[in-house]
Amino acid sequence: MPLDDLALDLTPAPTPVPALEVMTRVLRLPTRAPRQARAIVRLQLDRLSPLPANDTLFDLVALRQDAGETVYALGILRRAALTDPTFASQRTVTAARSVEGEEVVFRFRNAGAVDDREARWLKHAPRLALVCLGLAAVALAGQLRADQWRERRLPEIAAEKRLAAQQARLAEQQASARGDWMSLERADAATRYLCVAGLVGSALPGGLAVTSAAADPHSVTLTTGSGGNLAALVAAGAAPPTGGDPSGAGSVVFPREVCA
Amino acid sequence: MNRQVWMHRAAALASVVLVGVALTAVTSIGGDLIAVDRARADTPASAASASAPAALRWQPLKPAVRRNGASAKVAVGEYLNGRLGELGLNIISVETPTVRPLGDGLHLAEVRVEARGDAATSAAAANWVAVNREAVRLKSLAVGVGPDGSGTCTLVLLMVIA
Repeated sequence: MPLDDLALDLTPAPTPVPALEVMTRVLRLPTRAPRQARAIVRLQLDRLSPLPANDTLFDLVALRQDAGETVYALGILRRAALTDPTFASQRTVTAARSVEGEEVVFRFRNAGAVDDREARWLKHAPRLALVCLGLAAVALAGQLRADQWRERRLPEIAAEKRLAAQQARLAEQQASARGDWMSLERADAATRYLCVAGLVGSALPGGLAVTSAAADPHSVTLTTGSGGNLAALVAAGAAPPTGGDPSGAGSVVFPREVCA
Repeated sequence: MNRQVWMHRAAALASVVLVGVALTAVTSIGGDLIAVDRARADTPASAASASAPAALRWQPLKPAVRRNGASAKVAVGEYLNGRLGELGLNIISVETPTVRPLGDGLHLAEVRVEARGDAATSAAAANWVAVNREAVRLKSLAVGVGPDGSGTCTLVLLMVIA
């Protein structure tokens, strides 16, 4: 335990505060910036105060704006006044004065004061702990809700995914089926086969002995036995057979263009 | 006084711990949100992107066969047995390798039919397909002589069924 713990007093000091002798003046400065105004005053403090600048503390409080200038109340305090033990624990000493009918509070920084920040902070610790307790409770409740929500939502999302995948697969199958159906819209194997049969019937009124036939949406292939009249079939539109048989047997293909 | 100071210090320490607890809880909430967001982001594209090409003009179809609870293979087999049998084709086997959805409760069945028949009966079958082409289309046809010397006919049909 630190030895200076006994010096931490969290209750207000009961001793009476001695009156401070603050000399006040009214200044008109061409700036609104407090930092700039303080710099101007610091440079001219010798002329503004009858006391040596090193022995004084000052504070500036803006009173009003007047024709492009700012009217400040300047408070000057003798540095020695803060050596009173009453101010030993006050890092900032305030003094209220009436300047031009206005109540002005000057704040003087007490550089010689003991560091009482811990005591000042600790004063708020119980209240802060209550606030933090409330925040933590709210956050924990939120976390609980969020965990429950996630546990419920993830299976739902997985189900939605499965459903979407199923629908996509179904749509893909549907598109494929429709594509296949539409590809036979203009001509399928039946129409091509009937068309070629009509052409062959016209070219060979006596008929044709076919050993095999194959038809698809693009072509019809006929295979004839011996005695087949390939020349008549070629005349009817079939592609000339390659490597024909002298007896007339062979296969001929009626390409797409024949029955376009 | 000393005890009061220590109590205040304990309160300050508790504040720090509680802030840590609150931050951890908030981080966990963020983790939950991110996990759900990621799970949702992995959802595949909607089915609309896989629809039929817009260039194809789709017209409503009339089914050739209604299944009425039976399997596609049975319904199609019974139907073809009747229809193609009238044309002189003696059906040996009927297979339906695929049945795909067409929408509006209709399906497209690919049917492979093997039957006994010659060129004339296969031409009659082609003619029947041409007449009923709103519901049946012929993908391929093959007529030949089987091992026993009789004519065999193989048809691959696309049939609209309900």
